[in-house]
Amino acid sequence: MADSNAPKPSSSVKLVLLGEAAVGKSSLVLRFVNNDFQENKEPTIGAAFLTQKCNLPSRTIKFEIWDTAGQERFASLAPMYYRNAQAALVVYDLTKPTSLVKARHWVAELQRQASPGIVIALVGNKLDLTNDGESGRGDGDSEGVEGEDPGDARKVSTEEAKSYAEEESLLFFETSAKTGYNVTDVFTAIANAIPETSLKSTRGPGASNVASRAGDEQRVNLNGPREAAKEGCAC
Amino acid sequence: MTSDPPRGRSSSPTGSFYAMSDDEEGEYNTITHTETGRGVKLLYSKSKVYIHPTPSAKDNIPGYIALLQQKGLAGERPTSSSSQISSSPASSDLLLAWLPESSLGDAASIYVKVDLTDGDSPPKQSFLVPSPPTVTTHRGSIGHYAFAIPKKLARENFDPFGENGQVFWGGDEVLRWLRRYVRIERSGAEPNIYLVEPSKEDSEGFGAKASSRPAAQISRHDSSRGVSVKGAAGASPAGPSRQTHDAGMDPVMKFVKETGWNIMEKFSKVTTFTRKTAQEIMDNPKIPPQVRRLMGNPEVQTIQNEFDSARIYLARWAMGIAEQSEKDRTQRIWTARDVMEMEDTDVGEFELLETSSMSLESRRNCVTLKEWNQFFDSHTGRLSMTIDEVKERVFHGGLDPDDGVRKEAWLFLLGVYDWYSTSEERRAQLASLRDEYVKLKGSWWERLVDLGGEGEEGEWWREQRGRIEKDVHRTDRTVPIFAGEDTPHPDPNSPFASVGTNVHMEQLKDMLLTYNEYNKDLGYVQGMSDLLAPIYAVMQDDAMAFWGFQRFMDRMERNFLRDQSGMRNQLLTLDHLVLFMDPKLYAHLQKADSTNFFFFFRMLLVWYKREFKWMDTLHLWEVLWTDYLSSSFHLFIALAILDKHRDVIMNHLQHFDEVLKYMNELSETIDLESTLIRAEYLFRRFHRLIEAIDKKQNFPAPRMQPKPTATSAQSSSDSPSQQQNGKAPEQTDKKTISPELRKLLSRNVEILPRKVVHKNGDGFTA
Repeated sequence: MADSNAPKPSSSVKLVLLGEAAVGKSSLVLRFVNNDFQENKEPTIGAAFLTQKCNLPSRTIKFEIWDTAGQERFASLAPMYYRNAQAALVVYDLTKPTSLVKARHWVAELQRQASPGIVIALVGNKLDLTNDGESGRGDGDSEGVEGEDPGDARKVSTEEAKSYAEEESLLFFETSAKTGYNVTDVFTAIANAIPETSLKSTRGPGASNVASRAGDEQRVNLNGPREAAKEGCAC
Repeated sequence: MTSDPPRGRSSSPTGSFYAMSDDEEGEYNTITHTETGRGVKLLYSKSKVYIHPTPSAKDNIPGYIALLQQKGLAGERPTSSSSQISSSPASSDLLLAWLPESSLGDAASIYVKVDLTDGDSPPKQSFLVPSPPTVTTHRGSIGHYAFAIPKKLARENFDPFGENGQVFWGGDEVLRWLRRYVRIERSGAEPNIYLVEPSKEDSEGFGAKASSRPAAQISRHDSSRGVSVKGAAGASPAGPSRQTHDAGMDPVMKFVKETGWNIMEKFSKVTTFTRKTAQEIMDNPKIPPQVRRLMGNPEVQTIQNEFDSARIYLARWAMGIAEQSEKDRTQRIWTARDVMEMEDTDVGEFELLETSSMSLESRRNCVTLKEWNQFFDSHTGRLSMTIDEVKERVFHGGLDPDDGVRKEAWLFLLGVYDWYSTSEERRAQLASLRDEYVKLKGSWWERLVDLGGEGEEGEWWREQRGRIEKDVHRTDRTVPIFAGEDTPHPDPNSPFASVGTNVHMEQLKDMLLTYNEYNKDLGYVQGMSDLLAPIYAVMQDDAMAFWGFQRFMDRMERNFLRDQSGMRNQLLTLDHLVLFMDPKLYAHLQKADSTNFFFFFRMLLVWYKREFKWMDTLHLWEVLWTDYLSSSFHLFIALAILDKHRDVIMNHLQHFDEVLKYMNELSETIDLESTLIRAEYLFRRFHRLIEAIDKKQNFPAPRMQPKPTATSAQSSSDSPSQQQNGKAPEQTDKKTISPELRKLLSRNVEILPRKVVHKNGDGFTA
């Protein structure tokens, strides 16, 4: 970096989470935003809205995250959330094959109806329930079924999901919101994948045109000290 | 507003009463008011005591609390002697008043001087001021709003007269001064009630009764012995008319009556507010750590740039504080006319509740099992009062959370029991409902064998079962009865087989699966577990909980339709309601793209279950189940929440996502008691507005109303819609009443026709 004091351009990115109920959408967000995990997190009703920053070498991305309710019944509300979204995180539970089917539906709907150029990441969550990878641990020894390794609840193979993702040009990750494995990586990858051109129309509170506080913000934006640049997404 | 005719000497607001006669003037050895040559003695004055007629601190009216010594009519007081007057005036000679700054005129300097006098003794020199300009008299019963202080404050040991409380408004001083002259006892039952020269009955009534309800009032025994406690902006109907509670017009009460209930909200801010106190508040250990951290953070200003919640969090916390200090700097002067206008608007808005035979503070006491049982005939078990009487009690007081009354009462409120059934009939009903539940449960029990079987229906059932399983394991797990995981899971294939379960979770699953089967049109939908858990937790009996839930679902079904039509209708009604009640806020929300009111989605879907703490949710639901004022009272709860956060929303939230985030984050921070009070107030105001418009427009001809003309001016004093004019003249212009709004006055619960559910449910009906 040439000048670490020079303010990096900052842009907001609207991101929506979609996926079947109970695959861990809210938990992924909670891990990303607060670096926290809640066992038995209550089902989302309606939608939650959260924000988190992601520092890239060249710029800062401010994620505006819409976390939606998963159940089919509330699917009719989804367009409200993915409208104008620049990124989508479609989540499935890798211990539950039907959740990947649902994920495919979401991907198709996004490709059909969301903004063209939307960055979509396919995420298989609950890696902690499998024997895989660095996350592997999985303290809950899930009951082995169908003759698989005891402790391995994986029902969707990495290959299957990965090849589907490649077909559809999706980013692909397997994560564990519980252990935190790969979670930040998903968001960083998305941040990097957002085309520069779609970052023009930034709208932050500083841009708000209304009333009393606008003036203050303007001033702060221009003169306020910058946070020391930290690479990667904040956690 | 009218002045009542004098009721006796102490209620007479005439100048001659307060003024001194020439020969008595010497006793005071003082300054004489230049204009009149007469005056009353100012013993104590405390500046910057604000009245908050609106939620905005900009509208605050600065004034003084003053303790004045006045003269009784000559000859009425047998012990009239100069020594007594100067050393220990009879209580009837004292006037505790609140006086707007603007009303003081030339005397202002004297008030200031007395305010600045240090020490605990009355000023050596006596100060005479003109008798306070009493304007109005209010009569009638006192709305229970007057008694309420937001529970939040009470929880923090808020004591309006506390010397160590974090909030200072001079109340303790007023009290100390008052004590010099009259006997004051603090109520044992209600720590925030002070009895002024209490009679024996008062002491018995207030002294011993155990009650946890927060309240703040200075209760005055109403007898000729009592202190004439008057507000300058309205004289109290004191005096020999021995009314019960309504005559207890203390200044606090006075403020409430004069300004509407906003005073309660801002009560904590009735204080001399300076920069210094702002700093003190900042140092206060009770400030949430998030805020303190933020305040100490050098980057606090850049945080605004970060588009996270900091800015808004601060805004919320600072509700009013910033404006207040701004106010102190600018010292906006209010003219008498402003004050009068205020009276025409907000003062007239204040709703007095109908008289009740019960004392008001006990109306907000919860209904105990003992009281509940007394509602019923001891032989037949049949209700021996009207349904409305019962509902009124539950609506205002709620049910005792600890003594088990809910278990019985909820079955009535939910409609499982017929209100006028006998205990014999209920016993029989109970038995047959149990049988029926077992039968219903059996209908899906068979499916367990083949896990729902082949085909689409089997698929659907397995899907629903998995959903219920997952949701139950994440519903209210912090509530003790649902917390345990010590029972081995009965199904080895369950994703929860390794973590275990407990008997109550298993019961929830059974009930939801049974409901899924019972209401196949709709099926199980996320959110239902939230609606069932509290009912089961109270009943702890699966059959009864199931039927209670089933009745509850009758009215909640519309929230779970696939096309979201039920939710949309409610959000639309809310839209109309906000536009009708608060057009300015509505305009702001419009600018922020938020008039879809989607940020209330969660609140309406599960009736604020996620917004209030567990015990508060139980209380809220039983209040809502009464349908006492409206079967849509939950929308007034929404309005109350919105109203409470109006300033922050209007000043700080400019976008849909900001509004949604802000509202989502209110979860578990909302105080229930004050919200209920506010909601009731808003409902009554709504009701009156509708009535007034109907009267005026000769309903049902809703048409654009031209600007008020001479005719409307005539009726301006008794028409709430006209009283709005002072603040929002545009309001009256477009007041037409939509069917949605009109429906809000209905107490009938709307239940969807089966075919609507059938069409829009996601269940499985072969």
